[in-house]
Amino acid sequence: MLINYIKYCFRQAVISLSRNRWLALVSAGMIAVSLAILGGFLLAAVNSNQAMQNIQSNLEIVIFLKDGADISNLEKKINQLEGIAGCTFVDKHCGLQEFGRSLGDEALMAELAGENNPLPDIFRVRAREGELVPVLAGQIEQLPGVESVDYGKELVQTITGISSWLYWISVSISSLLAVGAIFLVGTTIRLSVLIRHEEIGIMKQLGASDWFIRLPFLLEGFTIGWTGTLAAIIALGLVYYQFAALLLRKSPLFFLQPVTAPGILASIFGGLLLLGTAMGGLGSVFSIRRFLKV
Amino acid sequence: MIDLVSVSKVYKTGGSPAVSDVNLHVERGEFIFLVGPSGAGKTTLIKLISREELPSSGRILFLGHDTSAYKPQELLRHRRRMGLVFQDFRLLKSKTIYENVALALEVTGRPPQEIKAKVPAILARVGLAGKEEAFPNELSGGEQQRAGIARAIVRDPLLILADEPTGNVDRETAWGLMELFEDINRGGTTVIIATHAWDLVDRMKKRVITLDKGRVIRDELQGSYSHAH
Repeated sequence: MLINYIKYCFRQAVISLSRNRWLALVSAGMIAVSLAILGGFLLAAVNSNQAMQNIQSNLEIVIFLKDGADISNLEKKINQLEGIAGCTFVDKHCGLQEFGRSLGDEALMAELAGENNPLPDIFRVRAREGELVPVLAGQIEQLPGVESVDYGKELVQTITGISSWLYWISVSISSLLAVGAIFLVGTTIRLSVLIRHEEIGIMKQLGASDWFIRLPFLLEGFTIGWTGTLAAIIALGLVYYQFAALLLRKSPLFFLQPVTAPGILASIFGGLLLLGTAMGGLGSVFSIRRFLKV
Repeated sequence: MIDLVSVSKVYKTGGSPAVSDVNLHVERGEFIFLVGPSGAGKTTLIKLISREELPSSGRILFLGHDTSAYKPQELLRHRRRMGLVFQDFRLLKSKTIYENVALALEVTGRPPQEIKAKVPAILARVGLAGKEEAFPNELSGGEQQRAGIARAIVRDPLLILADEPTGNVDRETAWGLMELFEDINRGGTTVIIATHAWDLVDRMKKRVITLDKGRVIRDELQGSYSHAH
């Protein structure tokens, strides 16, 4: 009996899709457009987030040391801190040479060499993640032998602020787009159900259970949602592939690198596919609910 | 088989009751006409028995069970034990005649082999052999009603409820449909028909229940419409 019922549901879904193919195509098209916009925005959000992280990860913490500080002990302690990506010691002589190269004033450098060198020994530290820079700077400042720490505090604060704004803007717009897409799909499917409300009423009078009526609509909705989303993903994937290839070839700025991590892209595209399929199915279930009350 | 005990129905829209204090007893295998002017309560009575509507007061017993107290599964069983025939046929326009009739079996989960065997046989019985693949709008009104009757009887129901089944067909076709109902009744199925077709009622010499303003004003075993008016 159950197998007959499942066969019936699939058969009905296929028959209904083929008989109402234009409406089904319009519904799938609506889902495709809605989710392509949503997906495009999500890709833009992860890419801008990565660009911000690239900027933050390139920030360096410069640690100025006191005279007579225990260099090897300090280096050991810095490397033990959570989130350190690299730590380089620059003694005061090398520091002066670097400074001189940047100034290009050899006479001044000669005057400052040796005992007159005013520069302190320093460590240059890089954090594994940009967000860790202020935290690590605070921890390092407490270590013995450290005179002061500089990491471009204001720049970090500005970037963190922009990142936070970008995050909330992307969350808000993505949510609005998702709600809009659900509304659009719900309306389209409601139209398809309205056309067939008489059929639902007759089936109820014939003694059909609610699930008997609901399941073919659910399968139909899933198919429409899945097809529409798949079309959106293919289109979006092709456009993104071109965009990523272009950026990888000739990015104008070091931090503008496209997100190519398979895990992130799979979760975005997979999430869209799940969302679109669920939207199609749930949209149809909610749309027929009121016609089942006979 | 069916007992109505002091049944009244008032629709929420207000006004006078559509059915008022109706008491009826229907035996298994009876053939009954419900007659009366428009608005007398015939359709409401059909809907109450089919449990499309619930009574505002009183009780309707079907095979001894109070239909108002049905649980969802019992309501499904109740609907599956009866066949409904409507004035406007209520066939699904997007389905063929075969599919329309098969639907009545599919909703109860009958196996495809049984459906394949039973549907053509029923269509032949109602005079629609060879029309299996036609869509409703390709058939005449009489043929569509025959398809509606085929759908109603394909599950061998205990009861057929027909609301103005001849309202949209000519007299000759209507008489053919009545003969079909009589044939179904001879097989033991209880038939209740709400109708305005006085000539058919008079010729059939069956039990006639006359309603007026929601009340039963006459109940005759071999009645006639003209006598009722």
